[in-house]
Amino acid sequence: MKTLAVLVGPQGAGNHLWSKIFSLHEDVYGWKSLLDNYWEAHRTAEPFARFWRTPEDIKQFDWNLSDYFFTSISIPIGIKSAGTKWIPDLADFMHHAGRRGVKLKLIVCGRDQNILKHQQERLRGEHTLRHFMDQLPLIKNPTFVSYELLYLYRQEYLKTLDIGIPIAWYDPRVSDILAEDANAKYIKYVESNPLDNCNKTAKAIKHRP
Amino acid sequence: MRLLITTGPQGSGNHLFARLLSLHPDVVGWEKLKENYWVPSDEEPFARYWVYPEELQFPEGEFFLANVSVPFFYDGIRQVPKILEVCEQAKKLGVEPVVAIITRDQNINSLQQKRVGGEVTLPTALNYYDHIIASGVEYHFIDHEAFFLHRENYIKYLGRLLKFPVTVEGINTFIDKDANHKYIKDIDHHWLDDVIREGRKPFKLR
Repeated sequence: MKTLAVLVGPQGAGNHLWSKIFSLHEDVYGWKSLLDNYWEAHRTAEPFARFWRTPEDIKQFDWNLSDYFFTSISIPIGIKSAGTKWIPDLADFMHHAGRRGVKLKLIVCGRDQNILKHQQERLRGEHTLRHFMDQLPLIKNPTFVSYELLYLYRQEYLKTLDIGIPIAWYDPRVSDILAEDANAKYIKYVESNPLDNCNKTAKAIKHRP
Repeated sequence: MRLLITTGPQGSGNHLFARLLSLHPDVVGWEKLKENYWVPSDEEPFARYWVYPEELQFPEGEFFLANVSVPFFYDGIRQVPKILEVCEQAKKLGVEPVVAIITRDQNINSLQQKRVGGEVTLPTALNYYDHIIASGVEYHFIDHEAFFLHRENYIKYLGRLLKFPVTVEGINTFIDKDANHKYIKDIDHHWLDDVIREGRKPFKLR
């Protein structure tokens, strides 16, 4: 049975990063042009972009192109101040894609919530996580993938993922894609934390210090 | 019977996941951690077995939850726990082991280890986990940041992933703040910001 893997996440959670990783395999019909560019706009380059806008049009898609398909989108997408922000309707997309007789696999990407907040406010002028959280309960049995896990365990992490489509964890481009950990620039040193003393004294404590 | 061993580098969230995955009433886990914010690692119910795996015994039960960091302190001595040996011993006793490797942002984890212990022990953990990965023991990766972002949705996912009973009742006990928060700073600008903003303008404005 043909499979469509659908990755969704908050803005800034690594949607482009995962789109590159999951589009690497030669048998996967995914966002191939993103592999030749560091960044591209979703609405002009992602192969399913127009179906996210108008889900019923997915009946026009040629499912003979492959056995494995991959698409992704952030919720919301765009920037409010630029007039390009809108909220994809995941349930509607899944409904219409499901009617085409393909197996659907839902993947949810995440990243440290503090970094997400800073990134969204800096780049988009507002914290947009709420829009994604509104739709999260509607997602049945997703596979959760993690930005931090990907950067620490890399190929070994990719080997463990079961998302219904093949993953080219062995492709040398994985290392190129993961060359820079974008979290590093957000991290600062902390001089001390009350919990440090617990480790040093090895005594149990009942309440948070 | 199933033994879930949660293990992560020091400071990656070992206590957090040990508590979360001990909460289901069918799980024999780290009971003391349900009533205390923090408990020394060598008071964990399986602690002695990480040093002396041949002594492994199980109490009554179907699902067991154990936790240990790599490295860990036992009786004041820092050492690498014998997780693989415990897995082998568990199999001999008819209990199926599964290892859940905990991850936290590597930048934060390294800073935390340096501050608390004076050195970064992350490479020691990664080296040992390579052995676990290569051993044939069932293993999965679980994530500190994913819990704080997705909360009960992530716990339910872990139940499916690990084939282990979980509950979302009580998961927020002792958690009033995301432990990563204090490590995160805002940045004014990143070079990719301009590229993204340009790409998101309507065509006529580019």
